[in-house]
Amino acid sequence: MISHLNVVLLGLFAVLALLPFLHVVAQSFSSHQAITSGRVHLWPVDFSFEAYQKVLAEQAFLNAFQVSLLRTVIGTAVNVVITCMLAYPLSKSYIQGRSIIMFLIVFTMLFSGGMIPTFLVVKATGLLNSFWVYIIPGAVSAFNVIIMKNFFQSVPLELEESAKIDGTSNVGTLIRIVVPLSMPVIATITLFHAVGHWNAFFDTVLYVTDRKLFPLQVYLRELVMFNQSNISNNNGYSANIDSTLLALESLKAAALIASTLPILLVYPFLQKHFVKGIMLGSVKG
Amino acid sequence: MNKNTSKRSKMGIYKKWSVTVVALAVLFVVTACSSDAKDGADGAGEKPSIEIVLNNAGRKFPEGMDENKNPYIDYIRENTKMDIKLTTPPADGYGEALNVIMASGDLPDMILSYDPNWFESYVRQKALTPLNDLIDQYGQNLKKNIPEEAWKTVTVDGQIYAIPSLNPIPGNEIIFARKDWLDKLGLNAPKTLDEYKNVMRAFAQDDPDGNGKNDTFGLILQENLGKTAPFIGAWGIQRGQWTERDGKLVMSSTLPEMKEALAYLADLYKEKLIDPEWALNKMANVDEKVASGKVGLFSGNWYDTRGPILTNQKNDEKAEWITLEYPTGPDGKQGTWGNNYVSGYNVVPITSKNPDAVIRMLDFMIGDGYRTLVLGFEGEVWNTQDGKVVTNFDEHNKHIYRQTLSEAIVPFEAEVSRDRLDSLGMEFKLNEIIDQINTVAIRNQYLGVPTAGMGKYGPKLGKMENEIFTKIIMGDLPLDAFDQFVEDWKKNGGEEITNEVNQSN
Repeated sequence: MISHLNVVLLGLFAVLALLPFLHVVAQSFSSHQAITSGRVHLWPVDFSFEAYQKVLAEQAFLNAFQVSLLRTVIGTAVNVVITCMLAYPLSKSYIQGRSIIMFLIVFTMLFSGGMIPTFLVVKATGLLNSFWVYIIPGAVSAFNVIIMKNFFQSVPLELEESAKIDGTSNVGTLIRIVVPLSMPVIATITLFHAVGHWNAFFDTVLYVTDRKLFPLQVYLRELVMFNQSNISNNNGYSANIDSTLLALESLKAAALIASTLPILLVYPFLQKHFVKGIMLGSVKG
Repeated sequence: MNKNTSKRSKMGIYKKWSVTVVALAVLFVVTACSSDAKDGADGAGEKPSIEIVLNNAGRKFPEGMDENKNPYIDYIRENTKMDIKLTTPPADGYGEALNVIMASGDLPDMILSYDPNWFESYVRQKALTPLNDLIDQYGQNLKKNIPEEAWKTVTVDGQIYAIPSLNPIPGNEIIFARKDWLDKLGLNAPKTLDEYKNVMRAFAQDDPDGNGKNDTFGLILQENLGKTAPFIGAWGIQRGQWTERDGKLVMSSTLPEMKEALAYLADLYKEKLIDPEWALNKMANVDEKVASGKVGLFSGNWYDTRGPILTNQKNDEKAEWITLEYPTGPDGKQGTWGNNYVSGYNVVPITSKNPDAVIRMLDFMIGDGYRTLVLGFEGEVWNTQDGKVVTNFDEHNKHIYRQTLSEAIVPFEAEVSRDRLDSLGMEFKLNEIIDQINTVAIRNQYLGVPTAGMGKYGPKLGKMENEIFTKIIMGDLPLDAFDQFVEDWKKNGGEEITNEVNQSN
């Protein structure tokens, strides 16, 4: 009985989450006129691939896609490697000064310099208008370090000891024993960072003015905003009168879908790692 | 600046080693000299070079071009004989980007901001260059094309701190109606508020689209009382503006006329003549309902003839739209929201070494250069045929990025703006509509910069007004709740703002 209720409730919830997505998918295959007349709901009207052809042929979209892709791949790799390297020593109780370092890490979670001091640091380090401004300032996330450290602590010490007996170094233990055993947490953190990188846009607003470095999210916001300029604040009036010529609704929908799909595809590949109990039974006695 | 401080602190540490001190002092002098020398070279007879920040508003550039590499910015460079470097932060978050630029210490020579509060706060911090003398010297076209009211908006204590970019459109809203529906139901075009109500009743109840279903509205409004301006205007006022009563400026939303206007709208709602979803409608929802033929009367934007109305005509070939006369109120008044004169503030940070070059550039952009920046290059984007400007829309869209430059500085009543609207298609009647709006537009009578109280209380008071007015129209609150609203408004900062406004005017 309860399980039936569960199925119904969760099913409803899933439908709620899915419907807006399907609506946008339907729009992306419909004509501009059908969308602005409110005739498109969950099924395309005046079916065509035109919007996708236009979006995929657009240089600015492809360029932004490339920036986002590079940012996500390189950024996530840097995040995960550095977080591992910081969390592993912190998980060992024999490391001297561990609590001081932990305190410094937690401190940054509670207090930050704020937007403008951070900007000044980024500026002073010469990162403005460079690709690396996407990678370096956010290379370490304090929260994820703590998650990873706690997971590493749960790896049985006996396993590491036995590796040591077989002659591995500290780094070797980390790479060959601890990391393979910690795939669940690594997958989690990879996902956090990958999604974060893919969706990030505010650092571009602050640090980047070079259009060649604009990622997808900024491209999309500009596309979607183009005919949503608020009339009451008087700016962008020419944007309003030109909107019907330029930013077609179907085009917007197609761009949204084309930029959401890639990150959506990451989930199934990482899902198999979210399985517990790998370490079950590794230590006997 | 960071380098200097670190040097100074080093000097403190090594105080006793005089050699080091001398060495560092020498270094100091050398750096100072070299930077002086560089500055000298910039100003000495060579082309002045300036850096400006504008909002690109998401416009696209053709392949191989960008904000600094395109024929329009070259056109300004050549005609003003300057090096201009343009920076365009992303359109979303533009305001944030301006704040970090102002904090960075490495300031450009000109920034365009759309936010009056932003402008006011940097004037108060003395971060901007006063421009009066420079305008007298270099800005003849600026003086000619910008009216007195607009200069007043950017003047603080007698000093002009920005070159205003103007809003050439007097107001946004005008009433559109389906002529074919009026004819079908045997109605004349309404003039008074009562006649309007009769038409709305017929449109809501008499099945004007003849499909046998009760699926049409008498009137459609938008969230936060959007699209009500012509109706409130029938009482000679608008919401949220300062207007003169007995020699003092008062907030129009708190006047007895507003109560009467709300009573009229509440009555329409009670009779089920307004779209029941109006309080949730966004602009896109209104457009959708107009396009799908559910609405025959609404207060639209002046350019809607190219938007939802056009879509509706494509969907339904019988649809024929006309503009109506603004409704006349009990005292014979008409009115609609009149836009503020100023839409943007071109400011020169105090650190700029070439403020004169900025003024000369803007003077060219509003003067001789404006026609080309608005319309595009003649012969490429447009031609003159029989004295009319004819635009090639493919080229127009390719050259759309030029508007980033033309919107930076917009003159008030320029012939070329009219030419441009006509060239978009005479059938949309854009200039005709704008002239009609212009005859009744009610403008804010407070022209100064925003006061401190507006920044502090404004958002909260505005939210309260929207909530209470919406509830009154929907019948959730009785009409007399308006009197309580006026009291609350005064108590929660309104009184303070009123005093500030009257002092500074």
